[in-house]
Amino acid sequence: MLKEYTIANIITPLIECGIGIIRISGIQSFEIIDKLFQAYNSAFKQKESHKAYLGVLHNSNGDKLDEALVLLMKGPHSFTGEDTVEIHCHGNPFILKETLKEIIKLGAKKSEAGEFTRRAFLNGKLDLTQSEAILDTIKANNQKALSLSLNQLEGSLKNKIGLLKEDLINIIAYLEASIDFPDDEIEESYTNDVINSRIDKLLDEINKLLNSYSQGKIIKDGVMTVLIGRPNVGKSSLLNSLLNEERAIITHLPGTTRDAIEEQINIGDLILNIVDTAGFRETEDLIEKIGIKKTYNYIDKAQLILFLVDARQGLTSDDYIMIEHLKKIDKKFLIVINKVDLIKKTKLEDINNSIYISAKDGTGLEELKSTIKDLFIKDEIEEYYISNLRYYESLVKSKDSLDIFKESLETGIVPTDLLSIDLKDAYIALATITGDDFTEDLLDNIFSKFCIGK
Amino acid sequence: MSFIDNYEIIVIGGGHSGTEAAYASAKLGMSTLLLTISLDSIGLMPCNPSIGGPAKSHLVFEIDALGGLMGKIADRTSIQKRILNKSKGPAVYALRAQINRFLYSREIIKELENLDNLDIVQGEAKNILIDDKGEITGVHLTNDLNYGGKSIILATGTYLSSKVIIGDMVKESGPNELSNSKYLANSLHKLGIMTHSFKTGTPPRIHKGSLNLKELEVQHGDSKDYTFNFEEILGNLPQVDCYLTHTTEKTKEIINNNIEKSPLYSGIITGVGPRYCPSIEDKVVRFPEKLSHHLFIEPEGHDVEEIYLQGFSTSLPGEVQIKMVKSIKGLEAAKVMKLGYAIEYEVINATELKLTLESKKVPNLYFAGQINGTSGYEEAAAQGLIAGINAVLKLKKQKPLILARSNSYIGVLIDDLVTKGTEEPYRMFTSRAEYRLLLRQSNADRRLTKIGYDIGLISQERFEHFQNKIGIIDKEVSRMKDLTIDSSDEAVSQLISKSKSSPLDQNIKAAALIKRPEISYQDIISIYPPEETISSRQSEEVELLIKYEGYIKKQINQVENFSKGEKKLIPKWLSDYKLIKSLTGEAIEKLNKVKPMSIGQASRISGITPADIQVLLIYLEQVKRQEKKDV
Repeated sequence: MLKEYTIANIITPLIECGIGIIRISGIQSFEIIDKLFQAYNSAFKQKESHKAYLGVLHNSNGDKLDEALVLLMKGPHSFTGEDTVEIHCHGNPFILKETLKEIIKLGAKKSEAGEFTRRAFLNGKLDLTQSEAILDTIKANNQKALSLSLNQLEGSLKNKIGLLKEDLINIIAYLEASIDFPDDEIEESYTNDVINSRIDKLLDEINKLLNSYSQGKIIKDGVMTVLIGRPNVGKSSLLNSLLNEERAIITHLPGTTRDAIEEQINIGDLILNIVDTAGFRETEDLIEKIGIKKTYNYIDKAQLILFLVDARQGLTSDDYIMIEHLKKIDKKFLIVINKVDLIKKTKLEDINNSIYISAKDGTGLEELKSTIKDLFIKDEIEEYYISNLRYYESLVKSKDSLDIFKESLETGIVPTDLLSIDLKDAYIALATITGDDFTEDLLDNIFSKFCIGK
Repeated sequence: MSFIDNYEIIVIGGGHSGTEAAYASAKLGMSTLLLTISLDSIGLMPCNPSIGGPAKSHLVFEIDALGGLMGKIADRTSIQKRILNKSKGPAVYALRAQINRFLYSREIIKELENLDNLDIVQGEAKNILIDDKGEITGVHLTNDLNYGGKSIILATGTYLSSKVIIGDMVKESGPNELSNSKYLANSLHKLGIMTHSFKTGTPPRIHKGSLNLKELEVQHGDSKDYTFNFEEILGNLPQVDCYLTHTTEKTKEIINNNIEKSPLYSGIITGVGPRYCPSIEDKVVRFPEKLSHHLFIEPEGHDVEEIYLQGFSTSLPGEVQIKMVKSIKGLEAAKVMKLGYAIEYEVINATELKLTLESKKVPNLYFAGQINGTSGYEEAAAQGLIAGINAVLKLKKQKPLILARSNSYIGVLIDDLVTKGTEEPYRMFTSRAEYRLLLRQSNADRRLTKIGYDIGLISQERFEHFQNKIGIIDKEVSRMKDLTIDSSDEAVSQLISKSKSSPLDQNIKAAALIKRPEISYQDIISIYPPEETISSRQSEEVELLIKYEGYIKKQINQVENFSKGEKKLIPKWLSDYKLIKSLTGEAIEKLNKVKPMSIGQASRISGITPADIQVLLIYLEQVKRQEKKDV
């Protein structure tokens, strides 16, 4: 039988920021917080649910850890459905870790990944699709991602899948009826050509949904962007002016940024996950060499490459090699010509995909942003997005099965009973999204359509 | 209470289910009583005079592979055989036999009368007797006799509280004017086993001499020597033809003009009928755009004038039926010998049963056949065999026989019934089987004969014969895979050009050649003959195993996936799903009712969603992890 124990963990990212939150969930939650926390208000002793208390956290030696705000939520009226305490401390990783250590000393277990959600789910607070969509909502970084999650909650995707399934089962019903009722009159309305063109239509629809996955994923997770360029062309300055803050160390020495730095910035609805790389050039410096190798690794993983060039220097032979490389690997890239503030006239001949900016005075930055947006966000928002990996995989399975079916059909020699294996697979893959029973669907379809009976 | 006699197993009902159950039980050495309402109607075929067809033939092959009766008796009494679905692929080839139904019944009676350990008694069961410990002690008959028994198998078919309906005439009766079982349903209710009504029907029977044969399309048999039984023992009855005809617009008009007289539409019939076996009036109403419907005329025997009008089941008043029959093409002067009728009868909800077909409520009480909500002789026989075997195994304290969906249609049948129940009379279809290509009629012996042998229904001699046959097939498949054919091989080159296949540009394995659609295994062995002679059924199997190897592999992979769910057993302590708070009320109710053995079975319960299964899995996983930590 399932025994209840209390779990705790830090639920905000471990970075320095305004506030960090620790959650404790389970029957011991209130007992633990009593030992750890002294509220300024004595009403805390009553443990009234859904109230916030300010006070002091201290460790077992009585040393003060932090001043914190504590929220009490009695089960089942909490996220997990259990007694829950949330401690809002200062967003200092050290404080958070120390506080968690104390909580664990007091009898809680550190939660495993996803355990809070799992408990919420097990305690009937969420169903599976809801919990998937809620995880997405939590992660939604922007407006579009949010409406996408809500869409999924409303089941519009399921309706769409439902329509695809219906198309598919009509074809299967025809094939199966002819097998199971050989004496009955099954209208010969489905020639191979008809079946083929119906499958093509279905494949079109599935492909659209599959394509929407990359769009959906981009909206949800952002675009992996890599900033490259020779040393000292101003990569870090560009990053900082996009971020509006100083993060990377900027010097005028070539090759200062040796480790790649990852930053997240929002351009309207689009998130860019930007990696600033070490510059590339022929070098003897070992550390720099490693950095350059890393650059190539990042390029491999990137969805967008911003290739920075110094307007004063123009394109060098190194640059041309890199441009050829980018063209060859077929990635989206922009050549960003920086430091236009330092030249009177552009010295460069027209280069495709290029934008002139000055990271220093902000010239061209808006144009850069809108160009990037155009590259990734389609103007028309499609009605349905697949943003869930499980659905995506099911659709891929369905598509693969339909492709095999088409091949088999084209040979003209594969008998019906074998053809239907792949069609059924395609159907079942779709049905795992909506959770329906294949045989019942099929028989209902056959009996409603064909006049069958001995 | 005194018992006339004491038995280990009592089978109530002598139809296709009861006879298989009694046969298996007696064969396996149990003292067995077969109780039947009429000795003369044992093995009766009250509806269509045929056995087999898609999925149904698969069941008959499986019954035979396990050592049951139906296949060999059907072969002995067949008067026409056809293979259906020849063009539709190896998984769905299906043998159908027209049967001399009088001889079929006679042959079944002969088999049973001569069986050791079996007594046959005519009488109507009134009460199932249970002692104060809730254990079965025997059965009480309407004639006040009592028979003692440790296990009872109920195979009451369409006789339980049945009513025959024609027009507005409703009569307490079993099929074919036989008396019904009036009291047993009440006895079940007292045991807490509820029943509800199903409905089915049968068409009028006509004198063959009154048909205008010239107007009818003849349908000959095509597979006289193809047998259901794996020993390939042929029958020797003369073969006869069937005929095809169709209804006319006049038929439709008569039906439409009299539809209010149909008990289906007037509300007399309340039981649920099968959608795949609608009455002709139902077809006319549901598909008004169809001007005519196909009908099959099937003989009831080679020496019998009575014929069966397949596709014309009806319960309209007699006068209307006769008019309708005379409106059929070629039947203008038809003499109706027996009217069609609808029959309503009581069935249980099979979700009351375990996968062994034993009641969950009453130990050692088994249910088989139409009482479980199925229709069809083959479905009934399959259940009878399994119930019989399991009743024996339980008394012998041996492991029960539960066939899987992945190894037999019987497994699919019983899993469907017990896990999902059925809203209408359940008929087997090939589309119900997920792994159809692996469940061919041709390999039923490979799938099941070892099981039948281990249980004791297959003789040593037959088992050795089976092993030998399988050995030859496997040897030939691997010989074809190993045999390299030289690109300069003249005989093969000739064969290739004759078959319009593309010439060999390099050496090739024989198996690869057989995979070409235009080349057969027979072609290859005409050049490279096998060491041992190979029968035509064996060589068909070799060809199929080679030609469809890819698809077979694919299905084997699917089965491996499926088996994962079947192997994830639900621990016995989980008997009340209310423990799992996050399940919906509906899911808790359904899981508590079915009490699935495995996660796989749970996932097939209708209304149980993938999310419910996730909850269940996560719950069980949490418990498991916790147990590990606790240890």
